[in-house]
Amino acid sequence: MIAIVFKKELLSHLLSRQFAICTTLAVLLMSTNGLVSSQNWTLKKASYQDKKAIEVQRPRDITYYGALAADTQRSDRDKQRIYKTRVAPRALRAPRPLELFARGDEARLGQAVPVLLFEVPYIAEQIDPLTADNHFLALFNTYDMVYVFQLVLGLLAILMASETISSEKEYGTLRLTLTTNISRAQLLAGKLLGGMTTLAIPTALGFIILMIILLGTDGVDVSLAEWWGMGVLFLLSLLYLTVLYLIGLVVSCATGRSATSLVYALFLWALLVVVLPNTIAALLNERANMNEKNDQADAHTAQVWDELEQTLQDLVRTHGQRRYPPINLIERVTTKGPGPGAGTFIDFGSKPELYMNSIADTPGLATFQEIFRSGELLRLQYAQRAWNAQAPFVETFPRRLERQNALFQRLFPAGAYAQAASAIAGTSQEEFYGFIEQVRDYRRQLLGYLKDRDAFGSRTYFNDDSGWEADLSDMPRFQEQQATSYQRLRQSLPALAILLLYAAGLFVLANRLFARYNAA
Amino acid sequence: MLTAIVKRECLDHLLSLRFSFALVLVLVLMVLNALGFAGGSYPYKRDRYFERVQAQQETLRTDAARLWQLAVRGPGDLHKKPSQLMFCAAEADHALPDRVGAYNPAEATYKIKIYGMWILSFLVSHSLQDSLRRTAQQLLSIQAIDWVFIIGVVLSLVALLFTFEAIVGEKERGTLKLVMAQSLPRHTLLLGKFLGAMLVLSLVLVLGVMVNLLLVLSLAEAHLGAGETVKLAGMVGLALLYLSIFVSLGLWVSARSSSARASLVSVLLLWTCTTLIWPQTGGVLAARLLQSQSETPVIHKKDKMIMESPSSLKMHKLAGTLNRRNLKNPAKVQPLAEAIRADRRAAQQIEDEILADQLNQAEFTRNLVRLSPMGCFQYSMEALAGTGLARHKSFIEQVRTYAQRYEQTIIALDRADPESMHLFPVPQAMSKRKISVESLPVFREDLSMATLVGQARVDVIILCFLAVITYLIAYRAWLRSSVL
Repeated sequence: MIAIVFKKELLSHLLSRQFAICTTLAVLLMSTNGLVSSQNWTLKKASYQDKKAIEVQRPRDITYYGALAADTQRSDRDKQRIYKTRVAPRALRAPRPLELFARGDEARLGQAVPVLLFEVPYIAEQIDPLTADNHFLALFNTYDMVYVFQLVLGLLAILMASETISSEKEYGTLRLTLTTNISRAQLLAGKLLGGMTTLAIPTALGFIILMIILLGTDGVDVSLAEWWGMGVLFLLSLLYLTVLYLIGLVVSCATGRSATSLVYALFLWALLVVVLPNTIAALLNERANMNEKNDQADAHTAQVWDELEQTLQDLVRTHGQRRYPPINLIERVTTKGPGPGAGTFIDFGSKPELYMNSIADTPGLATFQEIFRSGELLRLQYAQRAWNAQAPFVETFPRRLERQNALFQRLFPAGAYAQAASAIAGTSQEEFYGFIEQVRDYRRQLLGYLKDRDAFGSRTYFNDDSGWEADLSDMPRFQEQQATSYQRLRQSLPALAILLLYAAGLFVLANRLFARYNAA
Repeated sequence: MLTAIVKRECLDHLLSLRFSFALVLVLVLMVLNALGFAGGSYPYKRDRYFERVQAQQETLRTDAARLWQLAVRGPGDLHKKPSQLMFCAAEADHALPDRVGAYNPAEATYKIKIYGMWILSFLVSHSLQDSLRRTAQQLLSIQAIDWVFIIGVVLSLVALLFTFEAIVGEKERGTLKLVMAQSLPRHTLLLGKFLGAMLVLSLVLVLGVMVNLLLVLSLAEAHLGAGETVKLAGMVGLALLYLSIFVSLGLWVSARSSSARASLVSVLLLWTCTTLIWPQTGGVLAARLLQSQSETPVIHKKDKMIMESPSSLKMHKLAGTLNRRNLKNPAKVQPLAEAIRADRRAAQQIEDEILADQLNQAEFTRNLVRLSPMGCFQYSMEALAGTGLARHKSFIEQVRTYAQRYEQTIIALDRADPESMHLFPVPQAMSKRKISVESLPVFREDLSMATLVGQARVDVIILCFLAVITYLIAYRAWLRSSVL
């Protein structure tokens, strides 16, 4: 009996106009969006690969340790001032192939983190080829597959379900159906199955299109993990649509007239999918006032660096010198000719850029290095203190806000779906936090390496002339550890559980309501 | 007869379920908007703005001790005043800089010290750190809860819900036949339904706006002057214009549909496409068509381009050949002054070109988004509120005019000093007098209604056009539809 209900339901949905329109719209949106994202992804991947090649080459390009302290390097060889920017090593995060399905937080979190000696990393540079060159384009939002599902197919699901009971009542067919020996629960289950099967068609269509686009994208190697991810994403999308279908079904069971149920369902959809999730994120954003937090963070950091200046002053004074670094201890080989010489020490606030050329081998040099070593080691300690001072503003606070937002969003089916999807695609903020942790570990490793070699007390710390070149070929390299499929699944569990809970709860509710439904 | 129809329509709507839903929803959103504004970032932004302007004036005062300092360093950063009407159209501060910087890219010491001239830098507040923080710390939300969202997305849906069964519903109930049996021209009936829906919508809108403004005035430290009131009235007018498009669209679909249900489905899809999907797709399409292939951000290329331009190399080379004594000789200084000016022109040109490219891309995307009434509505609201790209462009234009005025003033002041060699901008060959800050022009952005309307012109025209066209389409569809 349930099979007959299922078949009828399936056919009537498939032949309806809304199904045709919504499916066409969804497929159209997903394919255009898929093509655009695929193009973007290829560029991103190419950029990632270029940067990776640079990273392999990087240790050979660094000719004095001080270069690791700033992102701008100055080389004074042959009296030509050569400035190079972006010379600090970068920890890279590989673009995720499943970004095509769920972009998650990818657009705002970035992919490349400069690893500097005197700075604890906490934000990443974008290698998004789109907005990197033109920040004005950030004015325009773009969307991904998840958005199409949330909006268009979600609308289809809720529309389909909202008419299924109340309109049958209006046509009078409900009474006739109930005169047969089918139980009400069976009827409802049949309708649910029919609806789910109908919804599976556009879902599968969208996934097939995106899968083809993904396989055709340059530079993507679809491994087992990706296939598994796509499978889970498919089931997840279906689960989300089921929840929305059930919402429609509950509305339909709670109302007598199909027009009323439509209006209710529509308002619910607009509230749950468009208005509420947006309102919460927007209000939290407004409350955060990150400009203020950043200014406070900068003020606190500046204070720490001022303290460092004081400490360094004390340090040089104990050695009988007047300023840090004590450049009057060292002498230049040549004193003639244009161009800056030993006195060249440019200080960019917390990140010194230093390069001193033509240093003579004089007794003063040893003392200079002695002082310099202790000074720079102090600077390292202060870098950690500076981070501790600004972390509450630039990391703890926004992360707490993000967690709050995630918690609220999870209460809505659309938000829970987006979260679970981004977790599985590897584009979630949790995975990004993990990446930042890895970068910090790497920085610690790098610092250990430099301390082992006594880099701060060596002559190659501040110049690379007359045969004094640092050899960094065995410098530790950064290698990203991506989360495994299992970890990603575990990350998505809370959101997944909520969706399942919704589905179960709504089905029970629909059953209760339908059991008391007046079919006449 | 018309009044009777309007009255009946109004009563119908007012007593309906969707009216109460809509009213509650709009009121709640308007209250949230006001609360968000009151507890939000505006006071902070405004205070920072004043602080920064003060700081800029301070620097100007110090620089004014020597005329050449003013000539070389320029007027300092010029700031964009944060708009008080942010709650109407939210500010996209992750995409729009809040100032134009005046900075000096070149300074070098040879036997003499030379200074390049200041240029206007449009990327200044997008230093890497800044822009990274901006994007990384924002929560993802498709849209802020401002008037644009409440009216553009929520109220437009309400407008469609009021009208989707205006004709087809009456047809289903059989009342349309009876109405048409009277001596009532078709256009009167349509106009009556149109006006009825518009009246109820304006009631919702006005109630929402009033609650919002009352809260904003009482909670936030906002003082809305006469200018703001006119702008707000303009926005309400815009909203009505925009909503009338959706009312007509609803009537059109209603006249063409066979059942109320089918009408609702079509109306919904129409709404989803125009207000939610298209404004997002426009961006994607433009990105695809105009995507620049480079991977290094402009900011990094720019400095290199400026430093390594032929004119810059020439300037440095020339400066290297001069010594202090030469500086007393006008014939020797003349070429240096020219080289510095040429270098400045070249550097400014690089900046200008990058900016023009970026703005063209953004403008192209905007034009695509304008295909949807939501796009036009959003842009015209932003222009009136002074938060969007249009305001930013006009701000940049005004900064440019100001920069010219500033420079002319400096040259004139230099001319007025008989002891100067008048070789602008070589410091050693310029007036050494102290200048009073009052003689310098002050940067004041023109935010008068006339300029704002000028920015919104295109969008308002499109909206008016759409309003008329959609009404005519609805009328035509209604003329052709059967009443049975």
